[in-house]
Order: sequence, then C-alpha cells, then structure tokens
Amino acid sequence: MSIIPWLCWIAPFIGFIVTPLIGKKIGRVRDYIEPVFTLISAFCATTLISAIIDGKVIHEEIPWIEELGINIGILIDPLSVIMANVVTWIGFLIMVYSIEYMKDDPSVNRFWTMMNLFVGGMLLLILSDNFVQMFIGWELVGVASFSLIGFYYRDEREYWIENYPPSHCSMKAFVITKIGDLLMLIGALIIYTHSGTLNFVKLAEDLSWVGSLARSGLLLPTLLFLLCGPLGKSAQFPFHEWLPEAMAGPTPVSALIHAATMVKAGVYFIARILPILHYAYWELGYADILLFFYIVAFIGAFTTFLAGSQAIVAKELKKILAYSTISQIGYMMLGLGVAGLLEEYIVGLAAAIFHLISHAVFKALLFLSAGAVIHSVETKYVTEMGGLRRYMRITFYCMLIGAMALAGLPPLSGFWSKDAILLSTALSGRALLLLLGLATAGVTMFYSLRMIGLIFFGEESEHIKEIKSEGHHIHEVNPIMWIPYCVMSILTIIIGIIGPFLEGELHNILALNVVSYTHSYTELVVIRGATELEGELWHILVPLLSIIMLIVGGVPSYIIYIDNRLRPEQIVESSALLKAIYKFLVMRWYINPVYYAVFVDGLINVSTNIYNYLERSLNGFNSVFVKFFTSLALLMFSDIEQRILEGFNASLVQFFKGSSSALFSYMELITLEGFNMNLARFFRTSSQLLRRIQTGILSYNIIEIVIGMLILILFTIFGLLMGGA
Amino acid sequence: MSYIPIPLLQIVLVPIIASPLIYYLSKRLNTKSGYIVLVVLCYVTLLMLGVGYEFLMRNSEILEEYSWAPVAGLYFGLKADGLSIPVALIILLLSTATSVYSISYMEHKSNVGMYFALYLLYVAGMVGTVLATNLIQFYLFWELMLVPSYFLIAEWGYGDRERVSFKYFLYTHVGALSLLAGILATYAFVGTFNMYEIPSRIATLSPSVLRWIVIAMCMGFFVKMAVVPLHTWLPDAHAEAPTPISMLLSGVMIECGVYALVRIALSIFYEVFSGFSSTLMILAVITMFYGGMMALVQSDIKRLLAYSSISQIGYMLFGISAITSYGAIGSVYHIISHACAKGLLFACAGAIMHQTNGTRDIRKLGGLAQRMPVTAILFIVGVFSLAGVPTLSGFISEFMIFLGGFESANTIGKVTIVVIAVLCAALTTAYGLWALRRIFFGPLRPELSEVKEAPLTMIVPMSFLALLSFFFGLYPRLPLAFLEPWIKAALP
Repeated sequence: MSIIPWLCWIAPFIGFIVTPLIGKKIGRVRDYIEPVFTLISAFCATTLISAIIDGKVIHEEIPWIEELGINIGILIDPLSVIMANVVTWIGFLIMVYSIEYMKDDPSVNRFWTMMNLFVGGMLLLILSDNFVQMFIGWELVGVASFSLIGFYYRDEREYWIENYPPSHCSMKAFVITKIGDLLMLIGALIIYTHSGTLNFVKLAEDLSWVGSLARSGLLLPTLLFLLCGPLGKSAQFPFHEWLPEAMAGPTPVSALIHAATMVKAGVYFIARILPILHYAYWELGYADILLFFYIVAFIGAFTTFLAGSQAIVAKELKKILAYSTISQIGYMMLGLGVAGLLEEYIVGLAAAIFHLISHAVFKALLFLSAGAVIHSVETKYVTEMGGLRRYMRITFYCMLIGAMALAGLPPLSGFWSKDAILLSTALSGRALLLLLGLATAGVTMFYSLRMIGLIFFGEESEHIKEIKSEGHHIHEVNPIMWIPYCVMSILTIIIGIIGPFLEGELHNILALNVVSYTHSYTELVVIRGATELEGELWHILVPLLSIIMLIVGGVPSYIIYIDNRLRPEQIVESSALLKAIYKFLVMRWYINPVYYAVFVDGLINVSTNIYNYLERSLNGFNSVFVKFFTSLALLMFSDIEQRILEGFNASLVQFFKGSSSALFSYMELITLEGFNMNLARFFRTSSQLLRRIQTGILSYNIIEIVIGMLILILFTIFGLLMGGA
Repeated sequence: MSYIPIPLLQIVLVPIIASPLIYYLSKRLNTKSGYIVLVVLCYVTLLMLGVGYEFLMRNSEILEEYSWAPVAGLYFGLKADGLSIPVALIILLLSTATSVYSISYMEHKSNVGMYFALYLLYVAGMVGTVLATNLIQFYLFWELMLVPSYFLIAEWGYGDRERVSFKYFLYTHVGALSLLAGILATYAFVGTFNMYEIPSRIATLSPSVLRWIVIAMCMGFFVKMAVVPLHTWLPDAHAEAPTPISMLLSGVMIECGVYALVRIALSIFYEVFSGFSSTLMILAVITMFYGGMMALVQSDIKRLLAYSSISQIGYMLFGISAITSYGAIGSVYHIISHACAKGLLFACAGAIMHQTNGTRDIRKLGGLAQRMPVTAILFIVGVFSLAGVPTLSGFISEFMIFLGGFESANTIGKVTIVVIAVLCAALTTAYGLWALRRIFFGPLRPELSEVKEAPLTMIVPMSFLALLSFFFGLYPRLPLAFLEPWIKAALP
C-alpha cells in the first residue's frame, strides 16, 4: 500500500477537521498554514506523475461495505493524475490569493474549513476506483459548494446576485445539482443490478452488463440517467441555471469551485466511462450507445451557444465569467461526445482534456483578476467600471491574456484546445455541431473583448468618479493577490507555445485507460492519431474558420467597446428585432423564469391547494364520521333510552348509590383509611429501624456487604438455573 | 452476558419498575429526577449493547421464555435476534438522549415526576413490542405504547392538546383492533400465537383467507405508521406533543410499525404479502410525495417535521414492499437513520422554541444562525441526513432502499415507479433546505436579537444524535452485521 495516493486526498480532510478546532486560536498565522494542506496534495499529485510514467497503473482498495461489494479504493491512471494536478496546483494558487482577499472577513475560519472540505472531496472524487466512492466525493463537493456559495448567509444587500440573496443561491445550486445527482444514482443502481459491481475496472473488464441492459431495453435510459449527474455538476443544459447564481460566493470560491475544478467533475466522469462505452459500441456493437454519444455532443454544442449568447448582455463581471464557464464546458462535452462518434476516440478525448486543462488555467486567472478589479473599484458591475488600465497595469495585461486565451486567439492556449475540439467535431461529420461550435467562437471573442473594453478602456464611469471624489485611491492590488494570477497568465502563454506538441502527447498519455489495460482492440478499431485520418482538408479549414469567426466577433466588439465609436444602447434601440433578441438574452432565454414558475411556484401552489382542500377535508372527515355516529346514538337514546331504560337506570342508580355510601363509610373511612394509617406507621417505624443499618460502624457495614453479596450470588444462581431451563 | 441474568427481561421490566420510583423521588428532586431516568436508561442501553455484542460473538440469538398463560399455550418470550437488536438499540439510544433533553425542556413545567414516570413506561412499551415473540404479547405492548403517550400529549402538549391526544389514541386504537382481528383469525386457523411457529403452519391455508388476515393486520400497521390516507392523526399529534415526546413519536414509535411490517407481514406471511408488492410500492410513493409536498407548505416548524416523518415512512414502506433483501435491510437501516435525524431535527425545533419563548412559526423566525450557531450546524446535519448526503446514515439507508427497489423492478413500468421514488429525495432536500434557510439564514429579526444558544442539556443529546448519524454513515458494517444474515435467512 503506497502512502502517496492516499495522502493526496486525505491531507485536505485533515485540514477540514483541524481548522474548526484550533483555527480561531492561532490567529492570522492560520491563513498562511491553510494552503499547506493543498500544497501537500499538490506534491503528492506531481509525484504520481513519475509513478505512472512508464505505463503503470496503481489500483488499491480497502474493504468498507463488504456485503455490497463496495470498497474504498484508489485508481491512479493518466486521467486521474492529470485532473489531480490541475485541481491541486490551481487550488493552491487560489488559496494563496485568498490569504489576502479574505483577510478582513470575520468568518474566515469557516471559509478555510469549507475550502479544505472541497479540495478533499474533489480529490476523493478524482482518485476513486468505484462509483459509490466517487459519488461520496461528488456530494461532498456539493456540500462544500453549498456552504461557500452561501458564505455570506446574512444576506447583506451588497452580496445579492440580481434579485437573489446568497442563502437562496446556495439552496438553488444544491437542489438543482441534487436532482442531477439523483438521476445519476438511478443510472448507477440500474447498472449495479445488472453487473453486481460499481468498480470502474471491473465494469471495464466484464462488459456483459451492457448486454443485459440492452436486452431489458434499459441501455439508453440508463446512460441518459447517468449523464444527468455530469450535466448538473458541470452546469449544462438543462441543469445550468445554478451557476450564474453561484457567483454570490466570495471570488476565490468562484474561481476554484465554479470555474476551475468542481464544474469539471462532470467532464471527468464522462471521460472516465467514455472508453468503456466506446468499446461497447465499436467493438461489441450496441447501437443505442451511438445515440447517447450524439446526445452528449449535442447538449454540449447547444449549451455552448446558449450560455455564450447570454454572456454578451451580462452586466455583472462575475456573471460574464460564469456564462463563459458554462459555454466552455459545453465545448468539453462536445469533444467527449464526438470522441464517441469517431472510431478513434482518442482525438476527441484528448481535445476535451486539453481544453479542460487550458480552461482551468485561464478561467481561474480571469476570476482572480476579476476579484482584484472588483476589490479595487468597489463594484461588481462592468457598466460601472471603465478606463482602469492606467491604474492596474499588471491586472490589465494578465486579464487581457486570459480573455484572449478564452476567445481562442492564436498562439495562446485556448486557440489550440478549442481548435482540437472543433477539428474532432468536423471529422465526425456532424455539421450542426460544427456550426454551433464555430458560431460560439465568434460570440466568445465578442464578449471577451466587450469585457476587456468595459473594464479597462473608455471613460471612467459615474461610479468611479464618485468613489474618487470620496478620497478612494484606485491602485493595483497587493502582490500576494496578483502573483498567483500572473503565474497563471505565464502558464497560459507556455501552454500556448507548446500547444500542438502537448496535444500529441495527450493522445499517447490518455491512450492508457481503464479499457486499454483490460482489453485489446481488434484490428478494426485502431487508435490512431488525428493526422492519419481522412479529411486532411479539415486540418486547414477548421483553424481558418475559427480565425474568421474571431474576426467576425472581434471587429464589432472592438468598434463598440474598445474604440467606443458606437454605443451599444443605440444599436439595440435602433431595431425592434435587436431589442427582442436583447430581451430574450437578458431573460436567460426565459428558461430561468419557467423553472421558477413550474418547479417552485407551481409546486408550492399545488401543495397548498392539496393541503387546503384534500388534507383539511380528510381531517374533517373524522368529525363527520363522529358526528354521524353521535347523532345515531342520540336518536336511539331519545327513543329507547328515555322511555324504558331510564326508569330501570334510576332504580339501579339508587341501589348503587346506597350501597356505595355504606361501603364508603365502612370500608374506606374505617378500614382502608385505618389501614393506610397503620401502613404509614408501619413504614415509618420500619424505616427508623432499618436506618440503623447505616451505622457508619465498619464492622456492621462489612456484615451488611457480606449479606448483600450472598443475596446477589443466590440471585445469580437462580438466574442461571432459570436460563438453563 | 452469561454473567448478567435475564438481560432481556430486565430491559423491559427495569423501566416499568423504576417508573413509580421516579414519581416518588421527583417530589424532592423536581427536574433533577431526569438524571435518575438517565441512569436507568443508560443501564438498560448498556444491557442491550451487551446483548448485541454477545449476539455478534456467539452468532446466536438470545431467547428468554417464561410460562405465562399455559391454558392458551402462551409463553411470555423475549427474543433478541438480528432484526430486534438494532431496532431495540436505536429505541434505547434515542430515549436515553431524549431523557437528558427533557431535563431542560421541562424546566418550567409542572408535575415533572409524572412526566418521567410515563416516559419510562412509554420506552418500556416500545422495547417490549420489538422484543416480543408471540402475537398476543406483541399486541399487548403495541397498545401499551399508546396509554402513556396519550397522557404525555394531553398533559404537557400544546394547542388543543386534549382533542389532539384523544384523536391520536382513538385512531391508533381502532387500527390496533384491526390488527387484533388479524391476530385472532390467525390463531383460529393455526392454533398458535407464537410468531416462529406460524410460518410452517400457514402453508396449508387457503390464500384468500390469508390475504384478508394480512390486509387486516396491515391496516393496523399502516395506521401506526401513518401511511397516506391513514395519516391524519400524525401532524396534529406530533406537532402538539411536548418536543421530547415528538422526538420519540416520530423517531421510534411510528417505526415500530415498520418493524412489525418486517417481522410479521414480510417474514411470517411472505407469500401473501409479496403479492401486494406493486400496490404497496405505489402507495409508498404516494406517501413519500404527499408527505413531502405537505411539508413544503407548512409554516409551523413542528408540523413541517411531522409531515416529513410521513414522507420518510413512505421510504421505509417502499423498501419493504420491494420484497427484496436490500429493500428490507435498507428500510430497517432507515429506522436507525430516521430516528437519529428526525430526533435531532425535533430537538433543534424544541431548542428554538425554548430559546425564543415559544416561537414556532417559521415566518416569525430568521437569521437565527447568528445567535444559535451550534443549533444551526446540528439542524444542517439533520437535514442532510434526510436528504441522503454521504458520510451520514441517511445515504446508506436510502442507497439500499433504492437498490432493493431496482432489484425488484423487472418491467419498464416498475422501473419508472422506482425512478419516481428516487426523485422524492429532491423534494426532501427542497423542504429541508428551505426550512433551514428561512429559520437560520438571512438577516436577524430585531425581536430575536437577544436569543441565546440552547443549554448544554439540550446541545449534548443533539450532538450525540448527530454523531450517531455520522457513525452509521461511515461504519455501516455494524448494523449490517445484524440485519443482513437475518433478512437473507427470512426471505426465501
């Protein structure tokens, strides 16, 4: 049993337990110690790289619920090592940033406790070798997310996201992801009843469960149920509405949980099971799985466009980034979906994971720098910023790099990773998906430039003038805050420079997965690199098309937001169609209002009506019942009772009254009362006698003890005899 | 255990004997007599733990039989086997914690001695039901549970307590009469009341007769369990009862009905009962959703928790009606989870009422986490356990219940029913989190600004119940060591 993989996920849990106990007592030095737990995990994760570098895989387990065959285990293979490194190193940088960002908050101890819970849960999720353990980590990060979104639970107005207070936002996130989680659990339970195991390696080894599901007609439904968990956690349609509200939490939380790591958990899970399902389709021929892959790809492509379009009109800085996250994860889902549609799944899988890595870096960068900006100008609305590039040069350059990576400008990292996904989509031959992907590339450039323009270019807004007149000095933030995101921007550039090389490497690395080390493919399905595929035309066309889309999206945005030659309000007002589109986008495609109307207000209305009409009347039914019988009884009473029985009763009563008074006077007063008195006297005297046992004289007490023991021994013997009988 | 004689008889009798003693002692000690109740219950709990330990070590059940009414062939028997030990233990653990809780709860109330005396009788009644070996003895304790709880609600309850307690008594009693009819019918056909001799003898009886017997008995069980539509007594009774008694009522008493369903309907009348599987699964889903939806729209915190109990009973009925081993194991495990979680939640509700001078309307609460942080955290633990968050026992029990459901689902229709049942957990999460938010989060209401955290005699039992939730969530092998062999042996 090697200690490093286990320590990797246990270290943050130690932080989770220790922080509430002694955190408050050690003062500010605690803030410098907290990131160390994550740093330990980061070192472990990096060490694991060398452990698996020559194609080895680590798989260990210890028993937990043997009856169900559910154990606690770790599976260290390329996928989990890549994810673990992304999560821990970015997590560490964000925690360093938080030292300064959260320093004035009175509840910072609670912040650190929950951040540790989050990292621990996330690593537990990533390193698990079976579904149940992964689900435990999955729910734990949900709990951490709930508590961190609702961090400002007192609901002070400044923390509200539009009309929603933080306590509501956290509840919304938890309930929506819970629905997804439950659907995923259903899928897992169905698989369990057909396979008898939920261990990923065992599920890959013996694929008879796929056949069993197919024969019961449950294959596609089960896979779709399973998909709902990732859709919920990764905020994809139709479970995407919680992520914009999740911005109610502090900025490090948004950066870590809702951009770089937790929302990638869904992508990770699909990537984990993708090879299994791909093998089941391409090698074993279960046709339903192809439809599943297409659904994954389509949801990804649709969500990409859906969320990207909403980012165009968002007024809060963090909301722009939130919609952007949903959109970029859509790309990853698209990549995974088309990976299944292609015979050579490695192309899509490597593209999706590459985009996961590059997105984690530049999105965390964007969130941290956004936090710095919000902190400096004391507003979270981009419409209240402007012209900040003179005051915050470092943040400006870092954020510019991040935004351009997001938009996919060559040669930054985002260009290569997005391009890889678009290339796989093109190779799969699905035109609609490619169209949505390309269109969103343009949209992404548009809102990225819009964001940069509104914050850093143009005139200073009213708000800025106001705070400057109050004496507030706008300046660059503390180095503890900008060093982390500066590091990330350098990393973005580096990833961009080694981009194509990295992509090729990922092909080789990810070829080692649960299926490849439990099966061998036949000659029909060979894992080849993308360059050997047909459709070489696409290798030139796709990058070309992306760059064209960048120009299509970038030029208008530049003109409006950076050059400030046109005003956006004028453009929208000028056309009824544009106004309608604007309204549609601001209202979140009306999806959010519909959800509230049906699932919240609708549910409460239906329940209230049932309560008022059904429940109350069921209750009232009792009294009807009772009333019926009472009136029946009364009827009988008036007839029979009064005439015949009454007379009999009267004489009976007389008899009893007489005899009882005689009885009373004789028995009660004389005998029983006297008996009572005697009894009382008896007890008084005997207690006075018995009191003498408590003499305090040792010899008497010893005798008493001996007598007592004898009685106990007799009792025991008696009891033994009874038991024996 | 071979060195402590007649442990099971002690477990049932010691509280009964101690009851009048406590009443007498309370004249002097007032609320402090609760500590003596604690000692008595600790002793009884330790005995039960010893019995459990011995069961695991020797892998054999512990049976005590006494001649009772030989003319009717009746023996007074107490049996501790894989099913009764976990249930009896959780009854005792919850009762012990609640007795400490009662101490500060009863601070300003009168006639405390009577309360504790009735309390002990109530606990004895519940434990006796679980340990009984023949149907008449079982029925005796079943009815015995009613009398002290009736008085407890009527005397120390809230609102229209006399009417509420009387309705509770009458309703449950009528249901119990249906149960009695089934029991007597069984005797008439089979000639014995002993639960362990019946299965072999009913094989020759006609199924239609057996079906009516099972229906009659189940009516009794369902009234006690508060399955929809026989549930209308529960919201009033649990909401208007004094809070420690609500903890016991919701936490373990209605679960005695679940125990009875497993012990009698499932294992004794297996063939007939399994015929009702589909109907009962649908009834269970209706109960789950009905309870949850009603809970969602309550503004009184105790009524909300009462309706939540109805919904949770639906979970347990669902697991049993799946007629698979994991469904039944999950349901009994859910007895344990629910006792800990619902006991904890009612305790928090009582703590809130105690600290805010009796406020129980959620609309008048808000922001309490700032004044009562420990209570808030414990409330969160309770809500998460019901919602099925892993590392808490609710996850383990719900996982097994739903696994059992899917194991029995061999048609698309049945799969759909189970899917709907699983989604009820989202409803549970919704009403739990919403209650949490409205009570504890948000701005602190000015009228609550002087509220203090609950006293230690409340916090300690609450924390104990929360720790139990974590314990059974992280170490499920302990209850499973009892339940799994028993259920695997009981179901063919």
